Amino acid sequence: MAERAADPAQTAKAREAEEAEAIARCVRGDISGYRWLYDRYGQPLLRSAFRILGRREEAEDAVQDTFLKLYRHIGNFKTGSRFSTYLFRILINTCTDILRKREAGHPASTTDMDVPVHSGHEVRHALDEAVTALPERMRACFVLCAVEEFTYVEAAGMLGLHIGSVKVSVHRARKKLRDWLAASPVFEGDES
Amino acid sequence: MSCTKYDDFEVGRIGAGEMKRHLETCAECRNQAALDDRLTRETASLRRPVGDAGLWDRIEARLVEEAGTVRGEVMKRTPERARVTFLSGFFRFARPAGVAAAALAAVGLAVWFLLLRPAPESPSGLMADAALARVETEEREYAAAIKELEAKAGPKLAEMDFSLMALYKDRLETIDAQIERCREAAAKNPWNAHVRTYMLAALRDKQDTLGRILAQE
Repeated sequence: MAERAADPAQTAKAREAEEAEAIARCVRGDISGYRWLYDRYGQPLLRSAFRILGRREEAEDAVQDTFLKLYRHIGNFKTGSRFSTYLFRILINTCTDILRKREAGHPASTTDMDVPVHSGHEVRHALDEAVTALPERMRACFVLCAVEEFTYVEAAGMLGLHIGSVKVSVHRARKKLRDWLAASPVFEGDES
Repeated sequence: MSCTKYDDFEVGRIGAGEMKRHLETCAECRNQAALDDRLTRETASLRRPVGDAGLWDRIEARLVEEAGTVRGEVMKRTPERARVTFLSGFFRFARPAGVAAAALAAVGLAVWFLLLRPAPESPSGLMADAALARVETEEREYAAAIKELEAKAGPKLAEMDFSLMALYKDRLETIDAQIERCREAAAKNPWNAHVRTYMLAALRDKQDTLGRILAQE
C-alpha cells in the first residue's frame, strides 16, 4: 500500500505550534523547553558557529553561551517574530565577541581548524577550510544563506546588515569559492 | 576572467533566458556555471550533522546553575537589605557617645543572626521529606495518566501521515530519554528539587504530547 503523501503545510504548522509551546515553557523557566529548542536548532547553531569560528571548542562554547543568553533574555522575544532569527542573532553576536577577543588576545589565522568535523571526505574538508578562510562578514553571510538556507532578509536581520550587503557578500563568497574550486587539485575530476 | 555575463546573471542584471542563450556561445561562462553547480552540491554536504556529544548536558548544567543562582540571590538579598536599612537608620539618629553601645548591639545582632535565627530555606535545591512525598505522588499520578493515554494514542499514531507520525515519535523518544535521565539522577539524589522539577516538566510534556496526538483528526 502506498504511503499517503505528507502535507508539508500541516507538518510545518504542527512544528510551529510545538515551537511556540516550547518557547512558552522557556518563558516559565522550564528547562524542557530549552531541550526542545536544542533538539531543533542545536545542529544548525553548532555548524554555523563552527564555520564562523573555525574551532570546534569555541563553537561549542558559543552554542552554550547562546542558550545561557537565551535563558536570561527569553522575555525579550516578541511573539509573532521568527524565533530562529532571534536565536541565530544571539549566536552571531556571541561568535563576533569570541572573534574580537581572539583578535585582541592572541591573533591567529581563522583557518587553523583544530578538529575536522566528522572527518570523512577530503573534498568536503577542503571546502570547509576554504569557507573558514573567507573574510569574516563574507563567511557569516555565506554560512547563513548558502549552507543553512536562510533568506537574505533573515540573514540581514541576524547580522544587523542591510539586505543589499548580504546579497553582495554572498555573491562575492561564491565567486571566491568558485575561483578556489577551479584552482584546487582536490576537486580535479572528483565528482563523488 | 574576461566575460562578466555570469556575474551579471548572479546579481540579477540579466535573466535566466538570456543567460541560457549566452551559455551556448561562451565557454568561459559555461565553466563558471559548471563550477557553480559543483559548489552548490558540495555546499549541501556541509549540512551534514556534526558531533555534539555531551554538549546538551553541559548546557543543561549551566541553565540549572543559572536558575539556582537567580533564586539564591533573591533569597539572600531580602534579609540583607532589611538589616542595612535598620542599621543605617539607627546610626543616623544615634549621638556619637552612643556609638559604642551601637557596636555592642550590632555584635549581639550578628550573634543572633548567625546562631539563633531559624534556618532559611536552602538555596541548594534540596527538598524537605513532606515536599518530596507530594512530588512523588504527583509523579505517580502523571505516570498512571500517561500509561492510559499511551494505550489510546498508539493506534491513533499508526493512522497518521508518515511525516507527522515520525515527528511525534521523535518527540516522544526525546521526552522519554529526558524522563529516563531524570529518573537516574533522582535515584542518586531523590531530594534534588531541580531534578524533580525537570522530571515533572517532562512528564507534563509527555502528557500534553499524547493529548495532542489524540486530538488529531
